[in-house]
Amino acid sequence: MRRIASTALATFGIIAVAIGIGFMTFWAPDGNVRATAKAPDAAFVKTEAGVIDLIGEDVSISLEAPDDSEVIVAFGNSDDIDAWADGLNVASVSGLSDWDTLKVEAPGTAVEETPTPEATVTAEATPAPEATATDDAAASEEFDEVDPGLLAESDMWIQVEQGKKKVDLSYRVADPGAISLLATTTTGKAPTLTLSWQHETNNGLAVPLIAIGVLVTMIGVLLFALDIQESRRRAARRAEREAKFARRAERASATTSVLSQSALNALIAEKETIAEAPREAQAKGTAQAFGAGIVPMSTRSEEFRNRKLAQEDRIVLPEPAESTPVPDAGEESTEGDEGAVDTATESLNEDAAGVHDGTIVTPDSGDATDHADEDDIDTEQTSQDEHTEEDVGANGAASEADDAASDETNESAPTPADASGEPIEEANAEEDEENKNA
Amino acid sequence: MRKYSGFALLAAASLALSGCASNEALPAPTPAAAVTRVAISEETFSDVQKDIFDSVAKADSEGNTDSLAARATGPFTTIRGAQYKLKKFLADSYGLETLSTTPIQTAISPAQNYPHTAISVMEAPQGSNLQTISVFEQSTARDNWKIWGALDILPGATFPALKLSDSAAVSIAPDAGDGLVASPQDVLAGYTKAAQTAKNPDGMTFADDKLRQTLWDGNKTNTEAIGDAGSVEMTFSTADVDPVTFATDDGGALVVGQINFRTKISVTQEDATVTLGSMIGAMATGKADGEIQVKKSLTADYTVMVAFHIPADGAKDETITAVGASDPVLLAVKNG
Repeated sequence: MRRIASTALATFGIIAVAIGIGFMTFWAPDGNVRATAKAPDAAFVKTEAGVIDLIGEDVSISLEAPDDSEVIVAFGNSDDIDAWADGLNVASVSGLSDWDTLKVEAPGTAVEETPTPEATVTAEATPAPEATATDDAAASEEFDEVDPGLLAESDMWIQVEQGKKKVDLSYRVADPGAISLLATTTTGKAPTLTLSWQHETNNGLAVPLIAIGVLVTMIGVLLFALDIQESRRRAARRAEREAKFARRAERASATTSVLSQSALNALIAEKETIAEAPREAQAKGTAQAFGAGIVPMSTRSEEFRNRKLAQEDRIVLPEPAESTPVPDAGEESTEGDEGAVDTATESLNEDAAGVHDGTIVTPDSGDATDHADEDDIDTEQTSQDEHTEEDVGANGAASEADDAASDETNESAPTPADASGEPIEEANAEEDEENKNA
Repeated sequence: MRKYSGFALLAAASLALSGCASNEALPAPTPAAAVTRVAISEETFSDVQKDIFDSVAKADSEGNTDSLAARATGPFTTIRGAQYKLKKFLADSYGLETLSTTPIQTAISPAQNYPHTAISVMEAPQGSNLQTISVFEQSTARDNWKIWGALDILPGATFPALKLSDSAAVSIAPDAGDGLVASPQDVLAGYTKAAQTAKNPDGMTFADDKLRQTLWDGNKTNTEAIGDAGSVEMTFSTADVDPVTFATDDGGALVVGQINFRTKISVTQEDATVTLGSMIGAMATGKADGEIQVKKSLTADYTVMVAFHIPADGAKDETITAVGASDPVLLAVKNG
């Protein structure tokens, strides 16, 4: 709906602009107004106050004698013109009949509209009624007789022009509404008067229309753009919501464990052949993780074993009684298993698990002893587990609270995270993703 | 159908708006509001004055009163015409009154009413140290401006400041005496009485002036010349010309008018004859050295232009003062 409205607005605005431009161009009225008056049977023709500057202060004036006589035209203050022409046979131009014709009031008659030039030909061809001629003659007898040439000699005029048969001139009215012209010919016949002005073509509606049109168009375009933006935003939100649902569904299907089920499945699938292989091969193929119940073995076990322990983490084994044999510690076992105390001590010493000032330190000799029966992998893994559990216990809070903090801890602390190996990182990654989703 | 209704609406609106462009109303003339203005601008009048003095100079050179009439009227025509006649008879022994052609200050009447009048204080003409007053008139709209009178400012007299309204001098009708000690016509008439009787008429006080003194001196000289053979009588009258009057700043008026006076020489002694030459003889005989024998009586008619300052009614000093005067000119001589 909004898109329809915005389109309609923009269309209306463009139309309004087009109409406004039209008003200023092809619909604008003709810039030049040219109006003509032919004085009817008068000796003089004059304009009333405000006529020659009717449309503009700059006026082009054309006066043409009806015969070959000389045309005289004088410009003066309107009251001077009226006073000079008082009592004379003067036709008076009082305004416009239409845009092409001057309105003329003949002396002794009512207001008479001078016909257009085309109509004038017809009127001239038609003989005037006798009664009219008689009236005119009677009227002319009442007029003062004056030498037309005196018009050019008066002291009162602002400007006087004379010309054979025709006078064309441009005049600027310095005092609007107060200047008139009075014209005649040397034979005492009023000339045909044509006034031309450059008409202001500004249509008052044009500029407002264009302004409103531009404004409405902009509003329409803006609404249209907003509508498109809103649609895109809705689509993005929908896609994001669907993706979120998908992630939730995926997480819901995943097994929450230290070693993720999916990873394990993938590992198992990838190493399917290894599963069928002998135990040693499987252990090797699973990076010594085969058989680990909780965490797989790390390839960095050696590093962990040799790392420095904090004082509180150290377990000091009491020095064994002299030549007290370890019960159940067979030779084979001692040889095969470094979990035997002596052997283990030696082994630990050899492994540099933690010899400080002659003190033998081992993570858990008991465990080592307990698992003496088991193979090397188990024994080493157990030892590592204990380290891992302690380290994790020391750093676990940070690890559980903030994955990022845990990452930092893993880097700065004595590598408990490294010791925990890949599964923990995966768990942390899972938690990160969940936190982000939350 | 509904689908196209919007377009139809827009098209209708467009057509309606386009109609506004073509139906512009015809403008009507707007006459300017009527305001008081001078009958002619000073700039234009300066050109007009030049035309007038050129025309007078041309008429002077021709001694032609018809030519003079083109740019002269009123008392000036009368006086100048008489001077032409004297000039014609006396030739080089008579000099026309020199006109000043350089205005110092000009006041022009408003355009509303005719006749239009203007008065100028002119610089002293060549050969004189007295500033002059020139008065101009445009009788009707179809008449041009003409010089109406010219007279000297009397020694010791002060030309009063004229009152201006919207830059136009304020004209006063000849018989308008409101606010004045007397109307312009009455002042001129009163002056003739004062000149005639040497006494101030009722209600008016004229200051002594050089004109009257000169006239009285002339009359005394003539009387002495005639002696017991006859008598000399001088009578004064106002000319049949409306004076030109402007209001002054002090509430008074400046009136310029024409006064005629006649000198009648009567021979009372039986068989006595009085012989007159000079201007009277030239005028009577038409010759420069002409003489006329008066056996009964002779009348010599003169005319002179005078200007008075009329104080405002109730002014501290209500004395009417002569401001200017022209040289008396002999108009005609009649013997017998």
